[in-house]
Amino acid sequence: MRGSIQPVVRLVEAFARLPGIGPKTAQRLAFFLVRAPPETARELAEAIVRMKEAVIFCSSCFNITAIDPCATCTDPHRDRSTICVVEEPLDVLALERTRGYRGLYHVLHGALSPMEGIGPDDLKIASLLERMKRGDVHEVILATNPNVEGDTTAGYLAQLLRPHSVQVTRIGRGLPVGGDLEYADEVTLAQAMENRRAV
Amino acid sequence: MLAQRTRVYAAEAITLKRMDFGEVDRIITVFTPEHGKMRLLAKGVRRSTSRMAGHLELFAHSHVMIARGRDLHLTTQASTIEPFREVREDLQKSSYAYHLAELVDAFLQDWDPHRGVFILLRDALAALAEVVIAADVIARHFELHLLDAVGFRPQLTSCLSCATEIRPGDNGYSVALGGIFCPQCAAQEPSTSPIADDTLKVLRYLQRTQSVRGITIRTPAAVSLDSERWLRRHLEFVLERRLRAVEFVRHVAETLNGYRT
Repeated sequence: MRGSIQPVVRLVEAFARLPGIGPKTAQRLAFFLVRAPPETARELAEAIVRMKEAVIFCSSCFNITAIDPCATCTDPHRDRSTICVVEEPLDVLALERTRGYRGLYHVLHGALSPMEGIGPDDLKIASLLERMKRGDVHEVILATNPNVEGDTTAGYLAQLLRPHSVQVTRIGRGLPVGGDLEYADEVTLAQAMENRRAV
Repeated sequence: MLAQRTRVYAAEAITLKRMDFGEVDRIITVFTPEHGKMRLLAKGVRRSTSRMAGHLELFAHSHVMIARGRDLHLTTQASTIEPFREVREDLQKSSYAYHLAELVDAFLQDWDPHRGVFILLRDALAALAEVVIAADVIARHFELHLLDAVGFRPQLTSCLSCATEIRPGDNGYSVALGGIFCPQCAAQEPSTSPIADDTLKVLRYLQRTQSVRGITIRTPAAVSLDSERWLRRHLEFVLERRLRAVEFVRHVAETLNGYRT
């Protein structure tokens, strides 16, 4: 960025490090803040710093939280015999929006990706097995994403959970709401047929 | 080439890897017989209602329509030819599929067409999907024929130094020089290590068996392990980097064996 002043260049570079933000978007965001009132910039900066200071990972489920253990893990109304395993904290938010699940969670912080070198030791798998040892879990729901990496992760976890006397289930598969039968791929369609239910 | 002139063109493709991009897009690396390996922008495929997502899953063999873009080319349509469902849904098979995809990605440059390697990959995935041939034997066959296709065929039948035909004995294998040395020459060549006769026999058999469907052998566990070790060293020497997916293959094998015994 020839001709730009140093603080702006630094901010552009900082924005460009964020996921999904390219150099042009980074410039646009930086120049929005150049024109914005000082309090807008201060609020943003404070929000970022406070978030980093306050947010930690729950020592039990590894979801993001401000207190450890998190509110879900300590909620007496939640079913402690069921653990839903997800890839990311955002997946917990998505499942909570359904209001249909009342059990606990376990966040892996990723999925197995052998080609990228992401192996079992890079995910929160050991801590999941640790939770199994407490003996109060009856079902583990593997809710990793319905793609090959998610299936690989679920398959691997299912093998590891075999010696523990828990029921291991995989979230249902099939056609999405708003989907189109004609454009569905063979695997999705076959799974939708296999998992059909009486109405 | 026609594909480089027309705005939209069709291709057969096998998805090798992918990465999330933006809010709902992905950049997928596919391997095609006509145009080689290429990176494509697949817009909107992370939406649950995407019409293309399922057809562009890892290891799926699909028909894709590709539109030329300014930087990346875009996929505009996709339909599955063969999803290799058995590979995707089986932990051991999928671990080997990751390994095959990593090798193709590592050995081939973008836009370098290689129909032979495409057929090799497609046939290896098809063989993995069936249960006739052991997955590790399929992988060794693939590795040997991939090395052959890209110009690094290991010399396994005659001595690299004196060219005499190799017979059972204290032969040596040199990863650095790319093949086998007879006992006399191996003693003179510091880069060689002793290779077991049974391992060499299996490697030679797999090298001369052109199609993966022609494989009829079963190998003892010790020979399988030894073959894997030699070829892994060979591949990593040529690539000058460590292979990642093999670690996962090993991890899965140990996990499965641990609970079978």
